[in-house]
Amino acid sequence: MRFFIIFLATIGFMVQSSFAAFPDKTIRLIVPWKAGGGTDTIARGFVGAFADAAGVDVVISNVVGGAGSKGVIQVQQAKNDGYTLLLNGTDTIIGLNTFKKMPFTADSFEYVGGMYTTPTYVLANKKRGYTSLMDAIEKSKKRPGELIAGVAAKYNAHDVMAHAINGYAGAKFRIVAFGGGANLKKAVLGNEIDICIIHAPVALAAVKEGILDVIGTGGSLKNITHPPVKNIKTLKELNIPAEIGVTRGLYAPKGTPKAVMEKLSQIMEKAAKSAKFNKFGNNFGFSPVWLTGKQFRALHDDGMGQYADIKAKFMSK
Amino acid sequence: MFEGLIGGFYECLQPLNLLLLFLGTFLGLLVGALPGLSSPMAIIILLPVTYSLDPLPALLVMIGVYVGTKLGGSFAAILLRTPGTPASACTALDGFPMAERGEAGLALGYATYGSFVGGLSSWIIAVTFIPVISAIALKSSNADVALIGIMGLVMVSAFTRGSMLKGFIGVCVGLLIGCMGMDRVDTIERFTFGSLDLLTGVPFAAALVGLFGFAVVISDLSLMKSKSELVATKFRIKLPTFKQFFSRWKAWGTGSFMGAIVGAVPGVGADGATWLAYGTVKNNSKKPEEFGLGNPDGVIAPETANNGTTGGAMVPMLTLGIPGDASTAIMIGALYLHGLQPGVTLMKTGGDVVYGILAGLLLAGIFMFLIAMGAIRFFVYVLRQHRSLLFPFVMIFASLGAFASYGTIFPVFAAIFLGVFGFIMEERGFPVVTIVLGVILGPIIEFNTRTALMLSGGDWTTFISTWPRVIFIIIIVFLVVNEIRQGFTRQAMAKNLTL
Repeated sequence: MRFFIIFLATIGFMVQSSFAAFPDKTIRLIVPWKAGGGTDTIARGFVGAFADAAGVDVVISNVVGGAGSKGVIQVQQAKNDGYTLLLNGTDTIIGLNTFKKMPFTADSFEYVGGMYTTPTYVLANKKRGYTSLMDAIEKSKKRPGELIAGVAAKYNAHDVMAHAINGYAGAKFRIVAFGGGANLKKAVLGNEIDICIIHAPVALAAVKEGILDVIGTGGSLKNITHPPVKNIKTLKELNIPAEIGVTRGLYAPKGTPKAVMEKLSQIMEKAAKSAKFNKFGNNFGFSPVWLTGKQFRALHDDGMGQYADIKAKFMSK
Repeated sequence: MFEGLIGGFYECLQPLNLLLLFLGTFLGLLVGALPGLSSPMAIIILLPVTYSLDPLPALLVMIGVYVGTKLGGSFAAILLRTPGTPASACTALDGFPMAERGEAGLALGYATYGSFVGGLSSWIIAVTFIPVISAIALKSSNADVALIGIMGLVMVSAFTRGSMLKGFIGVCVGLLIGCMGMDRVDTIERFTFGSLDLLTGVPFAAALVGLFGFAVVISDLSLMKSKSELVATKFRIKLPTFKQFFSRWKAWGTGSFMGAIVGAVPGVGADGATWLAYGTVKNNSKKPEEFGLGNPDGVIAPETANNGTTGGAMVPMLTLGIPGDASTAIMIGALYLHGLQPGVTLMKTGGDVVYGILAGLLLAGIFMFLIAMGAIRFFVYVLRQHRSLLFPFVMIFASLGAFASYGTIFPVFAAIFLGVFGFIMEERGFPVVTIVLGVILGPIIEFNTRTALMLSGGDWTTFISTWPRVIFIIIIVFLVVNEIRQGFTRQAMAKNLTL
C-alpha cells in the first residue's frame, strides 16, 4: 500500500512538474488560411510577442483547404499537450457550422483567448455620395435590386451582414460575392459597386485619403486608429439587431490539461498586452484587446445564435 | 518622381542592400529551379529572417526572390520538362524539345535574355506610366478578366499538335478538374464526393507537379526500360548572342507588352500572361507548325511575359495596396509587419521605400541576368547526369512543393494520381499541356463571367459595353474563325494528298 501511494505521488509529481515546465519546446500555431491574408498577417504580427512571452520558439504553419476547415480539423485531431494551437478568427467556426456540415463544432476546442477584434464595416466610394448607411439603404429601396452590395464571399460574415441589412432594414441591395477581399477592395476603389461590406480595417488607407467613406459598421469602431470614424453608428444603433465582426484568438485541442491552458492563457495575455504586438496592431489599424478564454468562447455562442437567426429569416431560400 | 527614383537607387546601392538583393535573387533562381517550390513559399520562409531589418532591405530580399523565381522556374521546365513554377509551364513547350536535341544552352540563354528584357521593358513601362498602370488595375472589371481568359483558351489551338479533337478533350478534362471543389460564387460543392480535402478543389500545385513532374518521370522511366535516348547526350553549351536574341523582336516585344499589361490586371497574373504571349506569337508566326518542336520564339515569348508581369503587378501593390499575385499579397503583409501602411497613402508615408522597391526591381533583374548566365553551364551539367540520379530529386522536390502548398499530405496524393493520369493521357495522344491550360484558365473564366453577369444583373451586353471588351471579342471571333478556316484547309490538303 505504501509503495502504491509513493508510486502515485511520484507520477503525480512528474505530471505536475511537466506542466510546470510547459512550454519547453517549439509551439506550432496553425493558421488555416494562405499566407498573405488578414488572419495570416495578424498571426505573423503576434507570433514574435507570443514567442517572447513563452520563452520558446513559435512557428506558424499555413494549413490551407476546405474553406478554412482543414487547419481547424488538424488542430482538433492534434495531441492535446498545448504545443499545437489554432490561430484563427471567430467567423470560421461560426460560419462553417451554420452553413456547412462539419466534423467539428464550437465544443470541439478549448479556448485560450482572443487578442484582436475588428468589426465588419461598410465602405462606399466617395464618388457615390452616400452620407450614411441609412442614406444608402433608402436609395436602394427606391431602386430595388439595382444598387450593389459587394461581399468577399458567400456565407461569410460580410454576406450575413449584407443579408441582415437587407432583411431587417428592408434594403434592396443586390448582394454580389467577389471571391476574396482583394477583388472586393479593387471593386470599391474602382467605384464599381455601391457599398462594400468587409472586415475593418481593410482599405483604411483609402479612407484616410478621403477616397472611401466608412458609412456603417457591424460593431464598435472605438479601437480603430483613425479617430474620424470612431463614432460611426453601429447596426444596432440603426435598429438593425445584428453585431458582426471577427475576433482573432487561439484555440487548443479539446482535453488540453487545465494547467497547460492556464499557462497558455498567461502567455497569451502577456503577448496581447505587449508593446511589440500593440505597435503592430496600431499600425494595422486597431488597438489589440485581451479577451479571456471564457469571453472568447462566448463570442462563438453569440455568433452562432445570431448567424442561425439571420440564416433562418433571410437566407433560407 | 525622378528625384524619388534617384533616391531609391541611392538606397539600393548601399552595400548591405545590394548584398541582400543579390542573395534574394540567387535564392529565387535556386528555389524557382526546384520543381514545385514557388516564390510565395520562399518569401514566407524568409519573412521572419527579415524582421530585424529595416523595411527597405527586408523588401529588397523579397523582390530578389520574386524576380529570381520567375526565371529559375523555366530552367527546370527546359531541362526536365518539369516547370519550377506555374508561370514557367508554358516555357516547357519549346524549351524542352530544344534541350532534347542538345540545345539546352541556347534554350536557357534565350530564356535568360527573355526574362531580362521582359523585366526591363516592364520596369520602364511601369515606372513611366504609373498612373496608367494603376488605372488599368483599378478599371479592369470581371468582364475584362473573363474575356482575357477566353482569349487564352481559344489560343489553345496553338498547343494542339495533331488531333484537334484530342486537344479539345484535354481542355475539357482540365476544365473539369478546375471546377472541382466549392465554387467561389455560390459555395456549391462540385465533385467533392463528400471529401473535406476536395472542398477547396484540386490544389493547383498538385495539378502542376503531377501533370508535369510525376508524369514526366513515369514517361521517362518507361523510355529507360527500352534503353531509348532521353535527351541528347552531347550538349552544346552554346549561348545565343545579343544579335540573335534581338532579331527575334516580335517574340520579346509581344511578351514584354503582354506581361506589363496583363500583370497589372489582378486575377490573371504571370500564369495567364505567358500563354497569351505564346499563343499570340505563334498565331502571328510565318511558321506556326514549328512551335512545340523547339522554336526559340516559343521560349522567348513566355519568358519575357513571365518577368514582364513583375512591373505590372508591383504598381497596383505599391499604389493601391491591391496584390497582383500570391507573392505580392505576402509582400503587402510584410509592409504591415515592418510598420508601413500599404495602400493609396504609401507613396506619401513611405515614398522612400516605394522608390527603393522600384529601383530594386530593376537591379534584381540585372542580378538575375548575371547570375543566370553564369549558372547555365552548371544547370546543363546537372542535366548531363544520368536520369536515374535526377529522378529521385525531381520526385522529392515535386512532393515537397505539393505538400508545402497546403501544409497537408493530400496534395501529394493528388499529384501522384494526376501524374499517372497525365502519363496515360499523354500516351494516348492527349496533350497534357491542354489539361493544365484548362485547370489554370477554367476557374478564372468561370468565376469572372458569373461575377460580371451578377454585376450587370444578367445583362450579357456587359461583355461589349466598353471599347477594350469589343476589341477582345473581335480577337476571339477572329481566332475561332481562323482556326476553323485552317482546319478546313488542312482537311482539303490531306484529301488532295490521298487522291
